[in-house]
Amino acid sequence: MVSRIEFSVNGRKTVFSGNPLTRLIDVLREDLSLTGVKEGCGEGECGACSVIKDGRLVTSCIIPVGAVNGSEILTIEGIRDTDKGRCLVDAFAEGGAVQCGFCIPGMVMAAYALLSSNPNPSEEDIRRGISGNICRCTGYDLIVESIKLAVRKGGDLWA
Amino acid sequence: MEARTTINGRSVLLQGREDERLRDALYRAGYNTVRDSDDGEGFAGSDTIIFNGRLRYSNLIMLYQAEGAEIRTAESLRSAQGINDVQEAMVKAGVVQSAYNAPAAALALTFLLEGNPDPTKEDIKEALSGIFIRDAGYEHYYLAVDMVREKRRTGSISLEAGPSFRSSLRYVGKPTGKIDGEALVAGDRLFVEDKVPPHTCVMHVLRSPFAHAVIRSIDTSEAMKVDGVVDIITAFSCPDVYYMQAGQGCPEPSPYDRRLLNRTVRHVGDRVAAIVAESDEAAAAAAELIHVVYDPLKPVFTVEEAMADGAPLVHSGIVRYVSGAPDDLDEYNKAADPDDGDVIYQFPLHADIRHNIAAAAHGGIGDMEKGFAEADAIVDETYQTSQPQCTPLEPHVCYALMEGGRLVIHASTQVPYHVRRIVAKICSIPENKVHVIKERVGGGYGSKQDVLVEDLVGYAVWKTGRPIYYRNTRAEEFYANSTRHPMRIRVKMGGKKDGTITAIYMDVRANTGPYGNHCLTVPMNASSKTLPIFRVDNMYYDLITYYTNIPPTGAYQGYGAPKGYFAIGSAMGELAMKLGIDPLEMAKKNIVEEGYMLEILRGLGEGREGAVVPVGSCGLREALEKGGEMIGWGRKEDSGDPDWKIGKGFAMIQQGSGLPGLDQGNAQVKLLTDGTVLVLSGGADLGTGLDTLSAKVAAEVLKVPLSVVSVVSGDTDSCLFDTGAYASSGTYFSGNASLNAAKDLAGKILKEAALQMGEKEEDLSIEYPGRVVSRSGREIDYARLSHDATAGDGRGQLIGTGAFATPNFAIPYGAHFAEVAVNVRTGEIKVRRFYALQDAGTPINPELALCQMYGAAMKSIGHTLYEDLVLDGDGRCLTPDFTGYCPPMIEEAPDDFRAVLIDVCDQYGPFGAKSISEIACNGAAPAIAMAIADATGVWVRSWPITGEKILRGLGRF
Repeated sequence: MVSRIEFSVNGRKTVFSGNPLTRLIDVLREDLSLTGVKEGCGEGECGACSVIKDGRLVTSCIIPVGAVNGSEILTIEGIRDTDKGRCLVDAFAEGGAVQCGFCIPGMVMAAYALLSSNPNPSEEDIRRGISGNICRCTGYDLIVESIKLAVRKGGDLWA
Repeated sequence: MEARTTINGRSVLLQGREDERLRDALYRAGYNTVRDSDDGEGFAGSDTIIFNGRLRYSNLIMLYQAEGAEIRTAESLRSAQGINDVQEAMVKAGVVQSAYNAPAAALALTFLLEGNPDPTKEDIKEALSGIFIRDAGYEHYYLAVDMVREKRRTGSISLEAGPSFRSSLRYVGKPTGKIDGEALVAGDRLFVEDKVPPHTCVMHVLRSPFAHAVIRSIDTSEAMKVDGVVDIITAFSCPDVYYMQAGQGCPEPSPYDRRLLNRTVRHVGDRVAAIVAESDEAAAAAAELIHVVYDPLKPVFTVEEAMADGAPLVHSGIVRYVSGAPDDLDEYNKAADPDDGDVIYQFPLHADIRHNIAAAAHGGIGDMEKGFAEADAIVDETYQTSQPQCTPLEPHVCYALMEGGRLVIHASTQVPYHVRRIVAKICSIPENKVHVIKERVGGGYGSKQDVLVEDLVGYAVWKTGRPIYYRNTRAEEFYANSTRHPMRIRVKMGGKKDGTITAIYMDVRANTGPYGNHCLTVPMNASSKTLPIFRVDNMYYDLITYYTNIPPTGAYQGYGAPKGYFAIGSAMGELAMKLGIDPLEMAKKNIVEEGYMLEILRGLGEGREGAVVPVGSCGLREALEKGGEMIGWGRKEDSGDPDWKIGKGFAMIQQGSGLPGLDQGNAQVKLLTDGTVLVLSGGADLGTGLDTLSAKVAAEVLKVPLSVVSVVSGDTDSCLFDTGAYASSGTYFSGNASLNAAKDLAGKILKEAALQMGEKEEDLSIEYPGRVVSRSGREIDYARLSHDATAGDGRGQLIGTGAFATPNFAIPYGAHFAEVAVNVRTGEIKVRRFYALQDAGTPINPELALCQMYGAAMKSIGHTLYEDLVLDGDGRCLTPDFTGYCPPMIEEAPDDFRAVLIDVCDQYGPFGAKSISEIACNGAAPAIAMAIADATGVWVRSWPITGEKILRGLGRF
C-alpha cells in the first residue's frame, strides 16, 4: 500500500510516498536524516523520540506517518538554531543536565513544549512537563534546575 | 521505475529513474564494487559487470534496459569461505594496490577463465582491454593468471611474485602479499564514497569560464531561493584567510597566494562559487541562477608569454613576507592592486610577481667557463615537457560532517596532518577541533598531496553544520585539479672525446599556472634529482618559475625529476652522438659511486643551504651494466621491414627517500591484552603497501607472526603526526618510525618480563613466536606478559613510541632501457622492450615494489608518447576526459616489459630499504627519446613524442 502524505517538518514541506503505517520516527531519522530524534523503547514510554506535532508533545515512535498528513512537526533540529532553542540548549549545558545525552533531545523538546505554553512554570509544572521522559543518568534534579535556569535567562523569550 | 533483475543469482528489484545509469542504481542497492571512474565515458572499467553473459560497462546501460537482466558483479566472487582463487592470485601477485577497480579486474579475469581455462597472453589482454590500471601496471596480471592456472592444476601456488631478500629475516624482503589486499580486492566499503549516508548534502562548484578575469559582482539571491539550497559561498563571503593547497611541511616553500575563493579568477575552471544543497538537482538549478559579472583580463599561458615585456600579471596584489622581507618591500608594493589578493611568502623564494615570477633559484659548483673550455664538443638544446595529469581512478573526493562540535573529515589524501592544519587555519579554529580520517586512497600519485577539495568542503561543513559530500567530476580532475608543471629546460653539456663530461648547465623555466603550489620545489627537482647523479666538477643551474593562466599544477609522482631527466638524459645522448662515442660507456664514466661527496647539494637546498653528504648505498653501475646486457646494448636490431627502424636507449636515474631535515614520521606500537600487536602509524598508505611495511617491520622486531599485527594509519585522532606520503618518504620516514616504535616496545617487553619473571633483563631475549626466553630456560609468552601488565595491579599497557627525522639521505638509483620500433613511413611508434632496473635497498614488499615500477614506468611511457592535456587559445581544456587525454591501456604496454630489483643494502633505511616508486617515473622519457634517435637519427625534444614530430624531423613534411 502506497500513500502520499504531505506534512511539514521544521517549517519545510515534506512529501512521503510509501506505507502510511511507517512509524513517524523512521521517516524522520531515516528518510530525513533527523537523527536528533532518538529511539529508546519503541513503545511510547521513554520520551526519547519526543517531537512537537501541531504544538503538542508526542512520541514519534508510536505515531504512524499516515496520522500526520497536513501536520506541522517540530524536531530538535528545528529549534536548535532559534533563540528559544539556544536558550534551552545553553541552560541544559550550563546546568549540568547532560550526562550520556541520549534522552536530552526529547527532554529539550518536552521543556520547549512546556515553556511555550507556560512561561512561568512551578517546579511541579516542570516535573509534570517532563514526566513522559525517562532519564537514567541524572536523577532529574539538574534537568529541572536547568529548565528553571532557562526560564530565568530567557525572560521575555517565553512570554 | 523498478527493474526486475537477477543479481548474483538472487532476484533483486532495482529502483531509480528510467534514464539513470545502471551503475548508479547498482551502487545504491549496495553493490559497491561497481564503481565509477569516468562519469559514464566507457573507458576506465571500474563499472565492469557481467550483463546477460557478457562483460559490459554498467555506466553505459540505462536502468530501463536492465529489466529482466541477469547481472553479475564482483560481489559474486567472494563466498563465506573467502575470496576466489583469481582474487587470491591478484593479491599474491602484487597488483592489488590502490585497488579502486581491482574487483572489476578480478571479475573480468574470473569470467575469462570460466570460458577459457587456458588463456593466451592475447586472451588476457583482450579480457583486460577495457580496464584502465594506473597504479601497478599490467604485467603481473599475467602472473596472476598463471598462479590461478597452477593452483587449479596442483592445488597450490609455487610461483613467486618476486624475488626474496635477506634470508635471515622472516617477512621483510619477502613477497607476502599486502595485509589489506583481501579486503581491497573483495571490494569492502573502504573508500570515502562508501562512508556517505543517504541525505548528506552535496556541493557543486561554479567555475570560471575565463582564464583570467576579475569578478565584479556575484548575485546569489535567485539561486538561494531554489528549494533545497543550503548555502552559497563566494569570494565575497568566504574567510579572508590566505593559504596554499600544497600539502608541504610548514613553513612551506610555496606562497600563500589564494583564499578559498578569489575576486580574481586565474584559470578556466577556477572556483567562483560553492553551492551546498540537499540534492544534485537543487545544486545544478542554483548554479544556473547565480549571476556573475566578470571583467575579463588578458591571460598568459606559456613561460614565453609570462616573461614577455609588459605581460599581463597573473598576481598583482600586495606581497608580504612572514620572514626575511626585503628592505624595499614598501616601494615594491606601491604598484600593487590591493583588490587582487595578497601573495604571502613564508620566507624569500626570490620571487617577483610584478614579472610573473613565483620563485627563482640558482647554484652550482666548479668553474663553468673552464669546464666548457675543456670540452671537445658541446650540445646546447632546449627540451619542453607537457602537462600530464595524475588520473587517479578515484577522483578527488571528500565527506565531512560535524560531530560533537568537531569537524570530521573523511578524506582520500596523502597528507592527513596537513589537511588538518590547513582546514583548521581556513576555519580559524584550533587543530583539536578537526579530525581527519584517511580512508583508502583510490590512487593519488601526488595529486592527493594537495588539499584540493578538503579546504572547501571542510569550511562549508564548519559554516553550515550540515554533512557534505563532494566529488570531482572527471572533467574537473583535468582542468581544476593539479598537473605536472610544464617546463622548458635548456641543457648545455660539454664533454671530451674520452667520454668525460666537463660541464653541465641547466636553465629551467617552469610554468606553475595560476597558483604557486610547489612552485619552487617541483622545478628545483629538475636539477636537484638529476645533477647529483653525475661525477662532474662543473655544474650550474638557473631556475625561474612563472605564474600563468593554465590549469593548476602541483605534485605528481617523480615531482620535477622526470622533466629534468628528459632534458639531461637526452642531452647526454646527443653529446655522445656528437662525440661519436657510446652513451652507455659515457654514462658509466661519469656516475657517482658510494662515498662520493655530493658537493652539488650545497646549492640545491629548497629555499635554504643544502647539506653536503656522501653517496650512500648505490646500485647504479650494476643497473647500467645488467640492463645493457639484458637489452643487448650495442647490437643493432633489424626488423626485416625497411619501414620499421629499431633503436635502443637508456636513462640513468635517481630520486630521494623523503626530505631529510624536513620530513618526520611518528608511530606507536601497542601490545594488546592477548599479546597481539597494533601499530598506529601516522603514515598515509595510498595503496602502495605502507601499512604492510609497518606490520612487517613490527612483526620482524617483535618476532611475532605477521597475522597477529594489525595497522591503523593516517587517522589524526588515533595516530601520531607524520608529514605525509610524498617525496618518496613512506618507506624511509614512516617505515623507520614504525621500526623505532617496535624497537621501543621490544625494550619495554624485556623490562616488564624481567620484573614479572624475577630475572635480569640482560639474561632475556625475544624469540619467535612472541615470547621472552631466559638463559635459565624459563619463558613467558606475550599473552601472559601483557595480561599481567594490564590486569589487577599490573604496571600498565606496554606501548612503544618511535619518531624518525634525519639529516641522512637514502637515495635510490636505477637505469631504464627501452627498445622502440619506429615506422619511418607512418610515424607509428612501438615500445618493443622496456627494462626497469632499480636499487630500492632492501625492498620490504618486493612484489609490490615490482608492480609500482611497472605502474610508474607505464605512466611515464604514457606521458612520453600519448598523454596530452590540450588547451585552446582561451585556456579551455580540450581534453577533459580519458579518451581525449589518452592514458595508456594494456594494449600500449611494451611487448617485453621487465622490472628488476638490484640488491644493495642501505645504511639508514629500515632493514636497509629505500624508496621505490617515484624514481620509476624518471626513465621512460629519456630512454625512449634516445631509442627513437638511435632508430631514426631524430631527437624529439618535446612531450609527447609523436610520429608527426619524428616525420617532421625526417623532413617528410
